[in-house]
Amino acid sequence: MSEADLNGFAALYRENFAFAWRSLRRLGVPERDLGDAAQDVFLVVYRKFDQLDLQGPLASYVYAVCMRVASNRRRSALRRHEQLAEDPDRVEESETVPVHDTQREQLAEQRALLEAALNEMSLEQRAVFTLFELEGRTGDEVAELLGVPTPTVHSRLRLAREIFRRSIERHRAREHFELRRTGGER
Amino acid sequence: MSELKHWLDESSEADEFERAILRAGLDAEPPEAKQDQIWSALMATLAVAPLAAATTSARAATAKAAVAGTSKTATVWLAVGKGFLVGLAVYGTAAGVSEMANRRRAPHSPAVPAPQASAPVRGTSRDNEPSSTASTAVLLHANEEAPVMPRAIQRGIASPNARARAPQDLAEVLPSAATFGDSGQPNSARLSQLEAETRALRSARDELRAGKLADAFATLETSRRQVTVPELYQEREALMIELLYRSGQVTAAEQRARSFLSHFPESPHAQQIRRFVAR
Repeated sequence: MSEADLNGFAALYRENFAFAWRSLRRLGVPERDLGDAAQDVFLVVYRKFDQLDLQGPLASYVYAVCMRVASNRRRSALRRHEQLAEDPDRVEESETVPVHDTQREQLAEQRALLEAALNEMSLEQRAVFTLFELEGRTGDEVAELLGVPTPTVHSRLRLAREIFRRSIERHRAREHFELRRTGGER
Repeated sequence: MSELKHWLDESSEADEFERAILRAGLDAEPPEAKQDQIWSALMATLAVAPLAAATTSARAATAKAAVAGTSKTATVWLAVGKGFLVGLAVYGTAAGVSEMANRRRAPHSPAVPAPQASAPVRGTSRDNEPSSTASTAVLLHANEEAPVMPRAIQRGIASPNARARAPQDLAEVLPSAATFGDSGQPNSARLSQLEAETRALRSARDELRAGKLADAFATLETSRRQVTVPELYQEREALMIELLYRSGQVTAAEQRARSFLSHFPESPHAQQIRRFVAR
């Protein structure tokens, strides 16, 4: 790779690193693996750099690599029978977590619920859902990032929302059941 | 899709509880230092990655390695080169192992000046080592015999009579996770060390590719003396194993490979290094 290419790669890295990191996290890569996964992503990008159209949608390519890396890591983790659930240490590590214990516990519970709901989705549904709802992209932007037609994004988002809602409703039902049972025992 | 509202929008169909769950997923930004850390680790890995491409010329330049059988040798080199390509995770692995190692050697840390208390522990006794220490024994256990470097190569880097002091434990030369993470060492110092290691490994790799084995040994030895707690320990050791093998020291390479595997069984390089002991 020439110096000019290396500079170009460095610029691509700077512009897309945070996006790749967020994407990997939201695609289900465990907290402890994020650093390695991010390196994997940019190693792939580096190896393909001379084939990339630098005027084209690079974020789209980076996201596609993120999906592949996340998928591979999920498969590997499943083969090792690891849980892909949210790392319990994550709340401790986060820099923006409120210091109050109650808030901390609540945030941890909410994250666990979100992760459980996301884990019920296919990777494609999860990608659409997180890009639209968490990354704040529009449907057209999601379609461009994923390289699929906008109606496909509509469809995947609708299904993903249903899954999310069902998961939350199940949680509410369990919580309600637990409260009633506790109340009955008193 | 433009007609659809994001569920975080309060006027959307989602209820407040669902929005709260979604808000919990908004904090996904990388920690501040991660971008620089991963870039450095990435560059370090890429610095040794082209080994795979160098295998053909390197093999041709090494007569002794050919004794072991050219086709098998080529397979081994290609495998090791590929190992470097997948070695992105190596930093994490090495750091994790070394963190445990550092904890084990915590009792030695008072030798380190107070301001560096949370920084990687430098082996002070190693800093005082004679400069003629032979590199090939550095990473071996005390009960392992140091491989003997070919005379021509010895002339290039050290006195023929030099005898290495093997560390009591491999932990003495392992990097610390803290060097990248929460170390008290300034970022600039850590990155500077990493850059120096990267340059040294790149030089050693280029010299290996060019068949300049003595130079490659010298480069690795210089790096070892300058950086006693390396960030890129596994890469350096993997290069050294290759170097030994290519210089005809098949047994020494095998011993060293066994040592590597015993300490880093889960290393991304392990599968490739294993081929040195599976002959």
